[in-house]
Amino acid sequence: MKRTTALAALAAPALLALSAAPANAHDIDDVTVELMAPLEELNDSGGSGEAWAKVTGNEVWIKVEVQGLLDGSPHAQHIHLGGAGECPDPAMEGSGFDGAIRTTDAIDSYGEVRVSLTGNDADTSEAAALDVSNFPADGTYTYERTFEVPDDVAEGLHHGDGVVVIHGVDHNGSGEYDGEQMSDLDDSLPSEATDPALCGAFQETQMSAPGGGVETGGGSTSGMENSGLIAGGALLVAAGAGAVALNQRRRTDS
Amino acid sequence: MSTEQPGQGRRGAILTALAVLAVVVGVVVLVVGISTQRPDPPSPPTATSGAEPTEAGAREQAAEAPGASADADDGTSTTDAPGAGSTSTGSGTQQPPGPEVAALEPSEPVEVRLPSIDVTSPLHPLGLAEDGTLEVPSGDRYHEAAWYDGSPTPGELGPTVIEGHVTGAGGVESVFFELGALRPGDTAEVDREDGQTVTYEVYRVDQFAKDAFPTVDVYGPTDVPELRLITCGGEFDEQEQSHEDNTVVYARMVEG
Repeated sequence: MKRTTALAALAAPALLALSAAPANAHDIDDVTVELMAPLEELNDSGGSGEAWAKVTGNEVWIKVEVQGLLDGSPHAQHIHLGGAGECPDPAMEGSGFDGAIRTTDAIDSYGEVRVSLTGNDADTSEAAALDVSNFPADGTYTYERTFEVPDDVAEGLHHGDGVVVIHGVDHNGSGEYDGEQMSDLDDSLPSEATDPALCGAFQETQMSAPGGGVETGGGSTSGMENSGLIAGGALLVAAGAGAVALNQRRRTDS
Repeated sequence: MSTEQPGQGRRGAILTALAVLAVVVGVVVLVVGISTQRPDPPSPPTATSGAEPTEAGAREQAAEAPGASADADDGTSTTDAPGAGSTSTGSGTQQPPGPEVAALEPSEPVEVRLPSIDVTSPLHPLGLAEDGTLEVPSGDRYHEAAWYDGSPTPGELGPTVIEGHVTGAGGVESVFFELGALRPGDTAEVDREDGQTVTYEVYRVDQFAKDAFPTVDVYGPTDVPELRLITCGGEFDEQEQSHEDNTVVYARMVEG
């Protein structure tokens, strides 16, 4: 009995050390985690898409593909961390236009903005969350970038806790961000500009995914693969017919 | 001159006979040549290179085949609410229809069989090329299907990736030429090194432009052991010497 207690006492610090280990950034330096998320529509945005990321230590490579959102308007895009690591139920009743979900309504689900997926080498921290001039400004786009993130963000991503959220929904169908209600994130912007349009919770992949399409075709079957036969046949027909005609003419001549 | 007449006449007759023979043989060769022109590889009925081909296609199918066959076409999509705009046939997030099967321990695949299109092929492992794309079968094994060795082995959790060529040089048919003719409900079987056979049921067949390849749909995590069969399809780009599309068959494990 006494021995078990002693052993337990010895084991406890060891266990503590073990469980604390993942918090040490050095342990993820040489580890690549690959993450994927289908992007599901929120607020009937009409969009769809996918996100794919590889995180090695503090370096993040990410590719986001989006279709069908509002054209010609910026779509702020972030990785959120610190919530339940999930997307809200699209049917959730929010505080926005006609019950629309606003960004802060679902903070318990996806957490706070920790990465801003900007372009043009702009800042990728949460400070750039509404850097509208550096976000994609189309309804359909492919975004790809590699950048560094702070230790705690890297750890969250390595644990598969990240949630990708794309913002910007034209609730009233006016073709631009407008409306009475102002944003819950920035009261100089219409709420439409920052309401979530697509959401996807990262999940670790079960493989190292190949890039792009697959080159599994060596030749066309729609062309003339029997062109030799066909040309040969045609040549024979022409030669034969020519010889007959020539012979015919020679006979009439003589 | 006149003494040559009969000889010339005979020679003329022979020449004419030869010429006629040439015409006849030429016609035969032409007919054979044209009639054995190979057709294009089959495409799924919803073959569009767009992002959401399945829904419109499902409606089309239902219109073409009213009644029971519409259900049959859609047999695996039991979670689809009819007419609901947000659901599409066979999205990756769907739950399997039957009782869940237990995932297996790893064991590499050795043979794939697709009975409905008469395909049986040995399998060899392939990895990724320098540029991160999937290597494709080549050399002596050009016409055999291959397993991507970075993907789960058959029966393991996740999508097992098997690829094969649709055509070879000069347009000859290759092992997965008929892949686009598979339909939901069809069966795929994969033998493993340990002697076990994993049986899958097809739940989705799609064709995508290679530059719009849905990476997450095809290679993303799954809740049960699944299978992806990949080949080329669509128009052949003579300049690029490559097909513009990929045909992808999605199946999930039903027995193993």
